[in-house]
Amino acid sequence: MNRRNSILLLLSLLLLFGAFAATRAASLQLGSKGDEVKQLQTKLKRWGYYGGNADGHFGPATQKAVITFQQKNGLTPDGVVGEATARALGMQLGGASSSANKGESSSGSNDAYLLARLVYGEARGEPYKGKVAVAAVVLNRVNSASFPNSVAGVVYQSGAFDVVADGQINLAPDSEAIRAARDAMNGYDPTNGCLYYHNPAKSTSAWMREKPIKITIGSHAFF
Amino acid sequence: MSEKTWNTLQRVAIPIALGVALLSVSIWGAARSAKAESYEIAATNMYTRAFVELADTMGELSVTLGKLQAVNAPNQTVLLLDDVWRLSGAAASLLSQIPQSHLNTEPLNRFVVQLGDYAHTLTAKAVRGTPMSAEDTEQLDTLYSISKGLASDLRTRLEDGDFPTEGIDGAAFFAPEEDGAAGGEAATPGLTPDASASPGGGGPGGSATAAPTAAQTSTPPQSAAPDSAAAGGDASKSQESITEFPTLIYDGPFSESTEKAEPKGLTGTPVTQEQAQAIAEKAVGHPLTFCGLSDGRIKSFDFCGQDENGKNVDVSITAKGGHLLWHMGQAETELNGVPPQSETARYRDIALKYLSTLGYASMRATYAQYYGGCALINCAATQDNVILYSDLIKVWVDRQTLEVVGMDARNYLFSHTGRSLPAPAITLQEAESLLSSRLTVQDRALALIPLNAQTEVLCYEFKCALGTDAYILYINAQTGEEEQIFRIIDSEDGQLVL
Repeated sequence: MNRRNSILLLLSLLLLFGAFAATRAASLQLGSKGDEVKQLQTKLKRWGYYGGNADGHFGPATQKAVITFQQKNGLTPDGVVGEATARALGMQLGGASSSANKGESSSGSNDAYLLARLVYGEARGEPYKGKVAVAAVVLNRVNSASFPNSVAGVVYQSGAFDVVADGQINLAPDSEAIRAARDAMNGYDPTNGCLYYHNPAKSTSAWMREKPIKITIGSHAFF
Repeated sequence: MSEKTWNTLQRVAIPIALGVALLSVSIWGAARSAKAESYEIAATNMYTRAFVELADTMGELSVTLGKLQAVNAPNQTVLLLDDVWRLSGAAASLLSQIPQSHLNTEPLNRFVVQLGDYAHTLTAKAVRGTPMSAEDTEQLDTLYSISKGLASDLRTRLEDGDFPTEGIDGAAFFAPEEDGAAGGEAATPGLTPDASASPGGGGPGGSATAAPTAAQTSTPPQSAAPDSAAAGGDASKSQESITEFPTLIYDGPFSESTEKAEPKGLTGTPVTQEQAQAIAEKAVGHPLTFCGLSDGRIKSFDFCGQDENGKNVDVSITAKGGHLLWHMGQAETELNGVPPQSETARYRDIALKYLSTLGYASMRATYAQYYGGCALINCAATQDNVILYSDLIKVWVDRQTLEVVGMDARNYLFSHTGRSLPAPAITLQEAESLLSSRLTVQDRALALIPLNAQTEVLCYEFKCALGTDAYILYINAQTGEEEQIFRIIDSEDGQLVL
């Protein structure tokens, strides 16, 4: 009985310590070390706040530079790189939760993530250009009268994408798929306005096979 | 003793174990089967609901279009047109929920979306006080008779229980089987239109190529005409209404004219592949290889290669004029988030300097996004200090190396042309006085904004604050009308304009 109690105590102590460590990890301050400090120093140096080396050690010189940066950017000059300062620096700290400080939600970010999932499912073996191309076809369909006029409408349309039918759409996308989706949403269209694509090596649809191809990227033919 | 125990085990325990196993497998199987059945019922219910609602919505659409023929007062016309727009949106959404391949629903989808888009355009005209033209009245009459045919067809199918609930493996309902279409049969029974309304659909056969020519003569074809000839031998489904969808003449985002718009800014003479390659290599500063001809809306030569750090670079050069259509590279870092003010000005300068070396002078940096290690700067052309928002070039600047790693001139090449800008008829002060008194104006400019693909208007641009929200309002510099409003939303990546 006594032993079980002590285990419980140990566990809760560990949990407490873990939580404490997590909050600590979300900020950089005097004594911090590592790649994030290096990144911080590089940035401060580039903007002329810091004169030393980017050695990854948060020393007094780095602290002074952070304070100057905070003063100039209307932040609390405490010399600690917390969430607000990190954001002003354009940095993302490892332990920081991304849900905090999220801007107002808009359809844009939801669409980008759904698109990234489709890209990951449909084109994860394709060159980067081919990934952007798949995302661009979806967006071209959204802007076409012949298709549903939303990203979700196009993605989930019956029979439109194999990876939707077999559930691969629910896999978590990698960072390249996310970047490809955002690149397409920001205007890149390597397909030059195409509305369809298929893999000629695998496709069984005679309708697809007879269409004149506009451009081939990786293993996909676009038209 | 051990032998006796063993025997007992064999005689009793093993059959019991097997029995238990069989029983649990049966229970498991029955549970699975019940679950599968309940899923199937749920799916069938959803598909049926979508179809019933679609039939109802098409019915309402046709009634509303009929009323439009009967009313005379402008306020009634506007209300009814608005209803058409709303119902068409609902119909398009329901259509995408029906378990049919997108290839089959495409022509009907196109009809419904363009109908709504057209009604919306007419609403905008009507609220400006422009009376409906004879052409518009005629088009609405045609649309009425088509939608009446569609509505009654859907109703009949509903009554007969003849609609798809079986997922996409079921028979093609709205159009020929995918594979059947390849044979060149343009029309089959059911709701299939002639291929004229669907450049993307239909078969590659003779009738499909003939149809667009007919459409270009811009006479709306006879509506809802039974077309027994085209149905061929496949007339098993006893449907008399084979609908031909007309090409609607109007200017809206989903109109034919917008989809087929020619690139206005694509000037110059054709270049060879070698010339294009030289232009591409000069643009990125390292060797590239040819990797395909792009036969899309702007014909171009595509090149690809790797930069000195081994990152992939893709470049597309227009076949006409040898313009840089787009260039897509990758940044050093995956840095996200909005940088401090001190940094953003630098990115804008880099983007504008880059564009001027490409020959794009007098550009202005407008909005920016920050993602994937890049600052994406949207640059618009200017003419006599007026911002031309259609003539947009996007430039991606690597936030680590401060080099340009991407650009996209598609919008610019589609829309740039020398414009004759009118002198504003009202002053900036007059325009500002027309704004809602609740707004605090923060910035002012003169801009040419697109109302649709064909029309641009000169407007005063006001960046305003309302509480914690930010808006951009456009006041027509000729008439003083409020032409457009955007909301600016601060996101993690920068500012979104909605």
